[in-house]
Amino acid sequence: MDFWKLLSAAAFIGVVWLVYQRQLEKKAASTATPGTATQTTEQQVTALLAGG
Amino acid sequence: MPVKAMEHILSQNDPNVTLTTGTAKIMTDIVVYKVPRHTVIELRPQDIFSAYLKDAGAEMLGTDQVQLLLRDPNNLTQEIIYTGLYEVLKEFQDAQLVKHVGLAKLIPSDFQLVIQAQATTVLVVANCYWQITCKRWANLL
Repeated sequence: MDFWKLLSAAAFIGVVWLVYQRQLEKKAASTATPGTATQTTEQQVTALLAGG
Repeated sequence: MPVKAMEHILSQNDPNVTLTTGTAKIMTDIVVYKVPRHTVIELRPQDIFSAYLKDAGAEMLGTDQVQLLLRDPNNLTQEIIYTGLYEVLKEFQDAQLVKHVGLAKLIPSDFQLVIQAQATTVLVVANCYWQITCKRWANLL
């Protein structure tokens, strides 16, 4: 009996953890602004050199 | 096209530098460095700006003003990178005393890096020397 209680508690915690992670991913996706990812200096220089 | 970065020192001997004799008591360009084609100059915070400026007989006063500017190719806009006393720029060797640029900047081709000075007397550029350390990026074949 203790085994089943333990198993159900672990399963419950696992589901809560998965839902929480999903919410975090959704929040990160909604706050990210497209096209503003940080470029390295080399990427910026390459873009400048390509332009002239 | 691959790019390559090289440590570089800009000085009065660079072929892309135009030197102009100063005008007394007026802030005027004495050095204009035009970034060559297919080149990007990277200024980093730790880069060093040093200068020894002199008129026909004596060194410029330490309290005279010097500016380091970035100017666009059409001479429409400019950004001040350093403005202050000449005294601050006089050290070339001592790592504790040299003037660091203090900011990061990418300067594309055709843009100008300009040194201006407002000296009490007329600066003679043939008597002056200066250096700005930087990183030079260029296209490779």
